[in-house]
Amino acid sequence: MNAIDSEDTCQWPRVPWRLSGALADLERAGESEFVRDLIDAFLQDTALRLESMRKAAASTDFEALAACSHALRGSTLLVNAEQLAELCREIEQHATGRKHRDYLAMVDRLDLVLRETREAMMCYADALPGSVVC
Amino acid sequence: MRVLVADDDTVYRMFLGRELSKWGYQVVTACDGAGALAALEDRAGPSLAILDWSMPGADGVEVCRRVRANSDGRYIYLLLLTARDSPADLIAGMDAGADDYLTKPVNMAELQLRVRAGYRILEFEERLRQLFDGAPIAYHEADTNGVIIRVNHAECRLLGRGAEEILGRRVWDFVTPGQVEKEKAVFQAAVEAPNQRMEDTELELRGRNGDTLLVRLQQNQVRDSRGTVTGLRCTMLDITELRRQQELLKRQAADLARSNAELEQFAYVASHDLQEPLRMVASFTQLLAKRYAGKLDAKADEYIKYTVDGAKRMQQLITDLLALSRVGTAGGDFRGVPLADVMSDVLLNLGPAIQESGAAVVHDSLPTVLADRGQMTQLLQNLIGNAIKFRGAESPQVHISAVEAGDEWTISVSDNGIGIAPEHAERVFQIFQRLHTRDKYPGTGIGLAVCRKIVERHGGKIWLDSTPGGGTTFHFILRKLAPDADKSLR
Repeated sequence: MNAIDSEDTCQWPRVPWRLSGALADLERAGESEFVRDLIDAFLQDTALRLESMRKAAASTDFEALAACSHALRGSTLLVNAEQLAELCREIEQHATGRKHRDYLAMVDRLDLVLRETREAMMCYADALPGSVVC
Repeated sequence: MRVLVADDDTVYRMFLGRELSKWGYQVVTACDGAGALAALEDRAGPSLAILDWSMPGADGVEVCRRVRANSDGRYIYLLLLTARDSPADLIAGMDAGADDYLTKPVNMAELQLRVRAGYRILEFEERLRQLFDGAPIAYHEADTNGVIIRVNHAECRLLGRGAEEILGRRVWDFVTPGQVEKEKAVFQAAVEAPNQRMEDTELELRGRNGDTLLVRLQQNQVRDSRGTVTGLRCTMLDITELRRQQELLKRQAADLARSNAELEQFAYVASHDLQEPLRMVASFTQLLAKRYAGKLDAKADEYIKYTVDGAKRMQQLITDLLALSRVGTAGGDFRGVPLADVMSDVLLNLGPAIQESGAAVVHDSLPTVLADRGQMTQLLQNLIGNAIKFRGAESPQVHISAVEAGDEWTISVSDNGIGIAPEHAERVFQIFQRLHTRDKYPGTGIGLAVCRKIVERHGGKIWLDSTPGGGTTFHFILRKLAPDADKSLR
């Protein structure tokens, strides 16, 4: 399987995720199974972090919001989930400045992008060699 | 090589772990600060840690701080990983004790290079640690309050204590009660001094068993990059045994000097006091020989002759013994002595012997030396006299020369005489030692002993080169006259 490396080759309308260089390298090195595990871990971790962010947003806990968005941004950058990373940066920046924003709406937006990212990632993962379902 | 990856982000842990394994490192992971600290506390654990800044519990910066604060002597290379990239964050991270800093997303090629660089530093650190621990001299580092923060094996051995009993205590906890205030003052002065290295000082330490150890303490300031003194590096050389030996030697030297003085005094008094009764014996036996020669029987004449000879020999022995004892007790002051002038006196004194033997005595240009003139005359006269006395079949040829070497002169007296076998080269300088019968070469066997004593009194040494039948060269060393002394003496 070739890496999905440009918008034109994607099969979904928006591009929440592009295969990162690091993952592509792993795939090329024949480590498809590890790439799949990595995507699983990312999706599970991100879901948990999103939950924490939602709680922090509900209670306007700036510190927790900044910390969660900062942490989430690190892994989104690693897997090249650019939209998620950008949203995280925005939330972190506002929360660090203790600015009052509609954080719940921002987390909802993050949730939405995450779902799209998940879809793209799952599709990619299912197409990797050795996958049971494609 | 074990590497710790501490990150609460599963993806990063997995990804970094995988890459590091591929590069040949053994990977240990932790998902929070507590886990990271636990892994790093293990002495056999990782020596390089990649720490995420944001972790639950203790964050990466806090882990850096605690690792540096609880150093057990082992250095751990700390690399902070974070999505923060402001200069203020970088400063905060490095200030907490991080060695390096990488921002997320991590460039793997860069990480690999930095981990490699980290291990190069660790290898260097390990070499330094081995040098520190293996050094034969006691060594410790203390902060500005005197609290010992590093100690090597040699110091542990010196104090008879384990490192854990020394670290965290103050330097003056290990000195004898009477030296505590002195050590506090010396330490404080070293911390406050404008120069980095202090003068060595001596200190008494308390050994584990209450014994006292004398050490020479050397203190050097440790300064940070801003030049602020952060502590002292101290080396301690155990001089207990050295000092004991020095004291012993000093006592022995004093005993020896006293004993030598007593012996010289005894030899002088004995030989001087023996002279008078012996002179009486010799005078009367000579009178007896003169008055009664041919008036008694032949046996009586023979006995009287033996008595007269014995008395004369004994007189000569006592005169020589007295001369030997006077080298030490009745020597004159050291002054600038031109050896050429001394040679003139010697040639005059030995005139009859030179004439009788047909000897040729020549000398090169001779220096002025710092010496006792009378003893120089005696020394050269004895050596040249011997050269004439112990001649072979040919007329004696004696040559005196001088060679300059540093602040000394080596004077040599060479002859073409019968020579001395190598096994006797040392023996001839001993008192009463004779290599030939009295009939063949008369003498008391004291001449060369006197020569040695004179040279030693002048701080030099005397020796000989010879082959039987091939002549002998006596060499002796004398100190040069200092240039200014030479001027003042003129």
